[in-house]
Amino acid sequence: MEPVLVTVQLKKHYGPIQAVNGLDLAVQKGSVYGILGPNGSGKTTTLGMLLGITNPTSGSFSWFGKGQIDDNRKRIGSLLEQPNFYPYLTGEQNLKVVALIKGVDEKEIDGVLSAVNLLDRKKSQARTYSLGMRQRLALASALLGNPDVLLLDEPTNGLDPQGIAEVRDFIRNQSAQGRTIILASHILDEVEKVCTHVSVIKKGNLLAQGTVNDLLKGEDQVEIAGDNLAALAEQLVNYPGIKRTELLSGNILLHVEEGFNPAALNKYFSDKQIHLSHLVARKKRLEEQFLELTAE
Amino acid sequence: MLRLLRIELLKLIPYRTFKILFLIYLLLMVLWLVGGKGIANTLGLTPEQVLGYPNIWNYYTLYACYFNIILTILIIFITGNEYTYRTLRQNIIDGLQRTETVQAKVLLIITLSIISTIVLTISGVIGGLIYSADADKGRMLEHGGFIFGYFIQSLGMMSMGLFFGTLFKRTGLAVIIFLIFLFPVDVILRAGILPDGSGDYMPVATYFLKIVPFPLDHVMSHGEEPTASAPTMLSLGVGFAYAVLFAGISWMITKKRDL
Repeated sequence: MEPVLVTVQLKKHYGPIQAVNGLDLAVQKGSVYGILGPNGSGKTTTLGMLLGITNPTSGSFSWFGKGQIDDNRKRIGSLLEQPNFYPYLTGEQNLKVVALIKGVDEKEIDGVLSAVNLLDRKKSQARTYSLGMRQRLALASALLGNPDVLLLDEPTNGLDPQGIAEVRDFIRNQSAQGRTIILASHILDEVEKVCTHVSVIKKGNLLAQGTVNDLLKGEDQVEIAGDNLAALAEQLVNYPGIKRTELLSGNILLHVEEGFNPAALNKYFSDKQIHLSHLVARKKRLEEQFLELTAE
Repeated sequence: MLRLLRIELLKLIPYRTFKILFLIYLLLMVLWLVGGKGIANTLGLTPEQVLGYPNIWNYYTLYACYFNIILTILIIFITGNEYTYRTLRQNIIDGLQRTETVQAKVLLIITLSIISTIVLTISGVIGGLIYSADADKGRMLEHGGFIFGYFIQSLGMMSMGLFFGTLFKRTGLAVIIFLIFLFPVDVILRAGILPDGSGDYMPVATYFLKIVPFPLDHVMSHGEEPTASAPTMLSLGVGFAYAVLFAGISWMITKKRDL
């Protein structure tokens, strides 16, 4: 598959602060690529560089295999946190400006406006729009010119649950139509639900990159406790299917392989005349996984 | 090129502040002609001597240069707005080059300069027709060099507006600093700090004193033929150089800045 976007050692420093510190990303055509990181991890700075509004300190990136030429951006539809429009222009006039910049036929404007349900308000000034309407206008603007890539920065920020569901449906639909989607988010659940690929960044550093299945798959865990934790742990040394044993204050946490059978473990102990006071099998929650990835 | 100008006009024409400021500019241009008698009076001259051909070009452009401050403030507004509305950022995200964003503004400045020069020429021709003594009616475009001087002054002033709007980003702040630069700073530098004469070609002095000079000998002699009949090449050259410089610095700032 051909890459839509490649970055090489992309860096942005503000004085001594390293906002983005040598990112190497590769986004394949047709993927839904999540950039996951806590607030302040450098996601928006990275998107700013990719969209030409922030000058990189060093490193490079290339869209569509064509380097950093400005015309690349005409093939990208962006929806950043805050929709920016000329407040005194009508919705339609605002899109005319965008169409002229992108070199798109003005006849497409009505189409994208009706796709976001704004056709009847197209003659109203953008300043009279509610936040939700402005976001829809931004969406219409992003879709203008049928872009190859959609770049979304925290698209569900500040939306109610229904709005969030709509945005996620929108992303799935767009992806189904073959568009590549790049999504920056600090919400693990969101990335897990809509993305195929993910990179996890923290303080401007790339921690991990891969498919969502590989990176964010939940891990099986078993918690046990008994009278003598040390003795329990001793018995587990050669037990099959245990990846790692963690001795906690009141119990023992076992990181186990998929398909691990807790009943068999219980029997193993009772055969040895050791009785467990506590046995819980669970999937490790993704949040913990994420916190672990981004921990110090 | 035409595409960039179309984008700028699309943003400009529905902008109410533009309509108001441009209307005030037009009103002042007309008012000057209507109130010309009074102006001649205060100078101790007859209306024919001030508003008739060919002297009208000297006097009319002299005042029209001050009216250009309004167009300059308009340019500061629309440049600063691009930052406060974050639309400059959006334009670039949508695919405009940084250089193109400045080119577009420069094209708009050239267009407005042409329009204001046409307004000046047409109303000057009409005013001259009304006020000229019969003997002078044929001298319509003598001293017409001042019209070109006004064009250069318009370019330069609006280019200065682009520079202030770009540098300070916030419209209110930019306008205030521009006005301070226009009056106190330039005067203090010229009269108080710089050695005599060396500040004569500071930007403000060039645009308000040098390109279209006050016809002092005409006033002092109570209507003898003035010696200056056109702007000097030096003043036009310096005025144009400043216009290029202001646009150039704006371009450099826009190129380097994180938006």
